[in-house]
Amino acid sequence: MVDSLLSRSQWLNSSNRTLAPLLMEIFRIYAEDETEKANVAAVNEVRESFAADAAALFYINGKREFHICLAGLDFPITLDEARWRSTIEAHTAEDEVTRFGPWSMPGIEKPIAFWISARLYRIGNEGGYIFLGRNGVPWLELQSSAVVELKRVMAPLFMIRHERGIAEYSRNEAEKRLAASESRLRALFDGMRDMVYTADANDMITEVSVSACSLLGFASKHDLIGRSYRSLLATPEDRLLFLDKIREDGFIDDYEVILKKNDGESIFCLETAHARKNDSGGIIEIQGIVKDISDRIRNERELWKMNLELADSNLKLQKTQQLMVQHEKMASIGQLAAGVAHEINNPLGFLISNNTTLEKNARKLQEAWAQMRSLEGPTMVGTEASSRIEQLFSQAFEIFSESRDGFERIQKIVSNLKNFSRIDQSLSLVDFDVNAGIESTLVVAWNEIKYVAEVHKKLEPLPLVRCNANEINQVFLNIMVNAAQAIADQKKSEKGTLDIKTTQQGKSVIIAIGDDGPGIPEAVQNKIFDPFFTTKAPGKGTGLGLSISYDIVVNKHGGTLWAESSPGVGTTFFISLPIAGPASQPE
Amino acid sequence: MDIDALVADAFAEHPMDTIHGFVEDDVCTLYLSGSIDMKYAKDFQKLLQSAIAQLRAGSVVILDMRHVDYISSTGVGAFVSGLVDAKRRDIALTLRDIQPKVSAIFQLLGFLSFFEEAPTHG
Repeated sequence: MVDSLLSRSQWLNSSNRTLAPLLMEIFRIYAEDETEKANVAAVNEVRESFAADAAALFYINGKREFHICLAGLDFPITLDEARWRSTIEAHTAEDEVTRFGPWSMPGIEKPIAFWISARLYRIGNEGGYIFLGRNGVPWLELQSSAVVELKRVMAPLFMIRHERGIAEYSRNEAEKRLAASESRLRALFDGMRDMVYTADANDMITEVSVSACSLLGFASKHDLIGRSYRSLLATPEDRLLFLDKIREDGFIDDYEVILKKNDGESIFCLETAHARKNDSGGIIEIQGIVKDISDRIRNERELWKMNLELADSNLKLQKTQQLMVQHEKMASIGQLAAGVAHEINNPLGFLISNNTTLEKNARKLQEAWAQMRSLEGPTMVGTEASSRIEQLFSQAFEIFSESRDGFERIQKIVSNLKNFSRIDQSLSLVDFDVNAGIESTLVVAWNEIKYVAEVHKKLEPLPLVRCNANEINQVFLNIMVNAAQAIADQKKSEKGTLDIKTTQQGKSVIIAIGDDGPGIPEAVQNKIFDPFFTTKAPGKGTGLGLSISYDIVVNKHGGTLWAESSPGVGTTFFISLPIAGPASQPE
Repeated sequence: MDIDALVADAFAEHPMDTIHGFVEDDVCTLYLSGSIDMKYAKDFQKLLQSAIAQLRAGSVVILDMRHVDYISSTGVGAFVSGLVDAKRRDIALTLRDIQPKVSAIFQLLGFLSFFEEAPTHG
């Protein structure tokens, strides 16, 4: 301690002493220690050599910390950058040694009277500085020169250290950033709730997010890595289309895929992917995100199904309603016809009776006239009055005869109308003469048929058929009127043909009603019995006739109704009715 | 009915020249093609909607599907929506020559049975 004080005093008072021992010591310190501790040792040496009360090095270390290394302390002090810089700016000059004081160094509370400072080096706006302080005697020129000498030696050492520090700092920072970025990306990749995957040019999975395991029901993502993507698809060939698109466009947005889970269940997913390509445009890697949309699809599916069922129900309701109305209408028309027939029957009865009486009376009158003429003698014969009376008698008998014909025809029509729709039988089954039914229906439909078709009948003797006569007559009427209209629609100059045949076949009777109309197009042949299906012009048909006929024959009577049609040749409808009637139909 | 005009109108945003069709005896046949995916589903739906709107009740729409190589659930939705429209107007919607992989999607979604399937056409 005494030696040290002595040598410091000697040095201070001697102008011929060199800095050589200090500089050598500094070289040794920095050569031996690459850490920041070298600064601690160096600043202690400097303080001692300059016999200073305080010595400090200001510098920025490799971690970008703004340090002051004070002699006598084991560790450097860290200042915030602003304070560090303001200290430097206030107490150093550009290239000169600066003297100032009294001043209290940050970290030393007691002010020191005389300070000397100098910048050791500068890189950009950063640098390193040395501060020396002492009490008692101000710093002399001698010490200023020594500081300049010290600066010359220490500057390169500090600069190298500073640059290395910066480089190391940058590298560390870059490594940290890289690590942080990788960890962030990994967290993003693994934390994604959607499945994220990469696949190589052969579409083999090279990486996949953890979420894929839960999505697809695999224990580990390693069960998926190395598999071909298409092996995960419910329809693997869809992947070819996907690959074509991604090859062409480089990306694909919201492509729906159906993935197959490990347990075989299918899940609907939406995939968005892009391809990394090499310079020649070949795919290096496919990167994609797959989102499970099964829940959405399930909900949509329910909605679609409900819509469909609603549409179905509406249609059925509509059809049933119209069918009922039409049924009701047809039944009413039948009842009306029967009612009218019944009403006509009574006046017709007394008209026929009156006509017969009148004719009888006329005959009696004629006889009386004959007697009177024979009594009068030949004088009456040949006279004008006699001839006139003879003529009136002759005309009257013609009128009676014509009236009789007319009445008979009305009687037949009335009888057929009554037969066609008998109120008393409208709800029950009767033993029905099918051939008579055909005849009466022909009378009712005659107005539709007579101008367009010749009717050819071949009605074989048939047993009575247990059925609802009204309804079966309605069926005959529908089919006959349809046939007549089909023939009429051809607008041929000649009349067409309506062929009606009946025959017995085992326990059934078969009624065939055929026309030589245009036939039914093949595409709609299976629809002709559907309610509201019609090929007629709007307003001409309801499309319900055949549907109701089908219901009557098949559902109510346990029979069969079918059609055979050749476009351009004609159509024949066949009705097969069980003779014994519908088995389950209550009478 | 001018099918080409309907197609042009429905596919105004994404022009499609591979779809065509014709109407004969109340049977409208539409030859569809391409991918019925999210992008095109609305266009297909619009086409079906306008075709159905112009047909008489009791008509038949045949959708020839042989050139449709991909359908998404949204695409199936467009068909279902067409089917609802058709039912409301009492028009039958029939699928013809549907590729197995496309039919599998209808099947998977549970809608194949709602459509009529026409026999293969030459």
